Amino acid sequence: MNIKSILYIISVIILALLNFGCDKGLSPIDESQGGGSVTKGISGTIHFINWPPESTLVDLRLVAFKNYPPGDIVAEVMQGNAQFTETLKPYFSDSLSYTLVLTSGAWSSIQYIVVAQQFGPNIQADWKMVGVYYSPGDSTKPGSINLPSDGIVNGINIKVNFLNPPSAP
Amino acid sequence: MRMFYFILVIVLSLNIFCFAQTERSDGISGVVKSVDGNQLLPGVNVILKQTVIGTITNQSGEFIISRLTPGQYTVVFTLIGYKKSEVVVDVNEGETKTLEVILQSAPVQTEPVVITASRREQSLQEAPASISLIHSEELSARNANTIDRVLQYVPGVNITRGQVNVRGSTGYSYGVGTRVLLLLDGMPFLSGDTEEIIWESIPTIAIDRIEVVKGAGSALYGSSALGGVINVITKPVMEEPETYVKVYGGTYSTPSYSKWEWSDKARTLSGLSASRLQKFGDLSLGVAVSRTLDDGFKRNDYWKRWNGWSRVGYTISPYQSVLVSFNFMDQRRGNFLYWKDLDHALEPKDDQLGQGVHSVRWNLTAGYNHFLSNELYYTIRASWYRSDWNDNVPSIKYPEGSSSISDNILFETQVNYQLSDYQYLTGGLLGSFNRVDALKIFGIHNARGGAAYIQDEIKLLSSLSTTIGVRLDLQKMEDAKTVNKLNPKLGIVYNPFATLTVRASAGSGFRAPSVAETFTNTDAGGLTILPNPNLKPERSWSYEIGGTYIPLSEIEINASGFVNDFQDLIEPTFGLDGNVHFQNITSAQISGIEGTVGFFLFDRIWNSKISYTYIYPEDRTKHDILKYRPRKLFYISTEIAPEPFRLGIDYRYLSRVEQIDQEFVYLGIVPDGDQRVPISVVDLHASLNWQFAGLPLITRMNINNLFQYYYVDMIGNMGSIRNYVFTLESKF
Repeated sequence: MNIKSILYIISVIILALLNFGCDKGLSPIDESQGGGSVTKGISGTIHFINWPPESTLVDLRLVAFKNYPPGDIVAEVMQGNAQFTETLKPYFSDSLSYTLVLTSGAWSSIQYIVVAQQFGPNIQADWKMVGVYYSPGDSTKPGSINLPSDGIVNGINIKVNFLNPPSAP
Repeated sequence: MRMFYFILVIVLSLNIFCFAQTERSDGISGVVKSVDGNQLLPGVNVILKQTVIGTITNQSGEFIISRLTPGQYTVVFTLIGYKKSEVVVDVNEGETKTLEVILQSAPVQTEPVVITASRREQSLQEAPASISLIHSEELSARNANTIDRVLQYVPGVNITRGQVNVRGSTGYSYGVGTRVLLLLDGMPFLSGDTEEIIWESIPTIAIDRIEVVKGAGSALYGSSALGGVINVITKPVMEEPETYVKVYGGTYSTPSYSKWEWSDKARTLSGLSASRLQKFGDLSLGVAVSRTLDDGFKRNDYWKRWNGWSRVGYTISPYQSVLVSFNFMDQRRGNFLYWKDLDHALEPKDDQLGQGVHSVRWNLTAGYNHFLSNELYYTIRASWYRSDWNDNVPSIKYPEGSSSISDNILFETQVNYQLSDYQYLTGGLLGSFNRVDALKIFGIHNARGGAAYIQDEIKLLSSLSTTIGVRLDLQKMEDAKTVNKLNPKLGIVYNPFATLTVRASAGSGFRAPSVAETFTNTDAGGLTILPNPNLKPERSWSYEIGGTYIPLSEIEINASGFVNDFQDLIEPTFGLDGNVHFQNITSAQISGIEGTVGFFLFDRIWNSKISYTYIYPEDRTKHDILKYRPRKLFYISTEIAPEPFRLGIDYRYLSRVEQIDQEFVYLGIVPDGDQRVPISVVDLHASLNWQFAGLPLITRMNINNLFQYYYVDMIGNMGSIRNYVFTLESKF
């Protein structure tokens, strides 16, 4: 092996290292999307009455579905046809604000929005709907939303009466 | 800290006893030089053939073997890069024979000796499997507190959040059950409850070398050796006393993004270690202690750890010895399960703050070696591994947290018999007992097992040898049916030329389900995990063909192709009842190729290794790619070491993991959990040996993740960010 070959190897290693140094890998959402990214989602306020005992409040989330009528909540979420918010807290509030940024797959519309309560330890089976979004002025059928290409749709408000949950579709 | 100084004083005070010893003069001493320029050779292995006695030459190339029974001995000298030399010496009563041994450079690199592939010493070239070696110097150079830090540069090996993969074997099994078996001085070293490798328990300061054998190894080692075997071999005690002290301190960089900053304080890491190895006549003693602290670059991801190790050996005669060793770990660490979200990538969810685990683990091993004749020797060994941990991570049933105490007790006897120059037999019997007391999470359970194995190595021609072996394992967990597994192996090694070795092997492996997989009964993170006492063992078959070619003394090329078939892989799965059970659900095949090129230039002043592994990890049940397996691994390590300087760079690239547990993302358990990138990390190490100034001191500098590359090594878990570590090390 002559000195030229060695210098060549060194040059390749240095160039490779400089190249590796350019990529920073993961970054926070804003930086990774360059500040000009598409953000789709909904936001609004949920009004609660007649809260149940805390022992039955294992979890409480807003769920948006792509299709109506939906299948089982967890199955739809795991197939990417629905998306959760974080747990809606604190419990026993009169109202809570939420924002749901839709990230799992392509969303052009939301056909069904519910508030779902996990009442037992079984994450797959122990869920029930306690509130549904209706379009303003029409409480006969669940409301759907056509999403703009970019931006959060505001004013998606829902009433939850734990003693009078909506019937399942 | 006072405790540390107390132990340090004890360690150093062994020096004083040294002077109180009266040495018997019968023995062999000498100096080993190279034929080229009479250069003194340190690190030469000096072994009395067919005895339990051996040593290594010091920095001046000198060695002493004392207290020998009068008689004739064959002294074997081996060193990488030199031809093996044997000298026959007659030792008379009251006499020390002095030798001057000249080693000749080998035109072909002499292979180092390994013991894991065949449960006996053999040269790497003779071994019928792909083996990688890591020497203690590599651990020191990288300031590795745990050996996974250096394993991540072994060709074909990667670490996924502390779980080791050999050619994609394990993936990520949530800390319950490894598909790579860890041995400590040849004895299995897995915790009794989860059957998992606890890297922190391994006494890093006491390590001499690590051997990584790739492919199924159950025909010799039993359960868990589906993907490979890692054998950690601790340091022998030499004639010349040795004291070692290491102090290090460092800090993590501030994250590049303000959103990720969570602390105003510098996040530091530090440690103190000391060891003393010394012989007192026929008695050898070793003791080591270390205290290491790490604030963690992630919130609530700190750890504080004590490690201790001791060894007592006694040479009954040149043909018999006993050895007892003990190691201990006490660790407190925070609990960081997953990040809050990508915008808070270095912070856990709020409910994890304040959660932590306290673990105490110790291991006691005793062994007896006896050479009955030049051809026959046997070993009897026993070990007891206690693992005791408790946490304050709440479940619905036990809001105060969980705890577990497990005892893993093993007995083993092995016989090695050289029938002729062409045939070598190895056989053994084993027994095991495992008890787990973990009422709040696994329950209280007992398991016991037994095994018998035999292996025959036959040299068919001077250039062709075969290895045939089989092992029968019986395991019984309480009232369950006894599981029996027969694991055969076949290996062929062909050396058509001195510069070329071709090997082929086939072998089966199995892994018995751990107590944790069988009996876990808890809820965590919104999931309820229930027991499944009907779990079957996982099974595997490994096939490999490969070779080593050394065209020049400066270049070594290794290449291999492999296929590993797995059946009944155990995975946590949602059942029809909506709860999680561990189930035998997956059949898989992982096939691939691996190539390594080593360069040893300018009289081995500049050494480099480049490796590439491609695997195709196919989930044959789902007809998809297996989870948590990067397909491409590309590693470069290069080091320039003109004495007294040493400068090294390690680079590792792992392609983006294609499949993860998507449920965690969809169910919102790990927000932004699908965010992942390839891993592309550069580590740098530099050192200066002050021996040129008459000081027994080495100063080291490590910069890990030099370019501050951000990646996850598991969903929602950021890999280590850049950190700087400065080390002072002294051996005298």
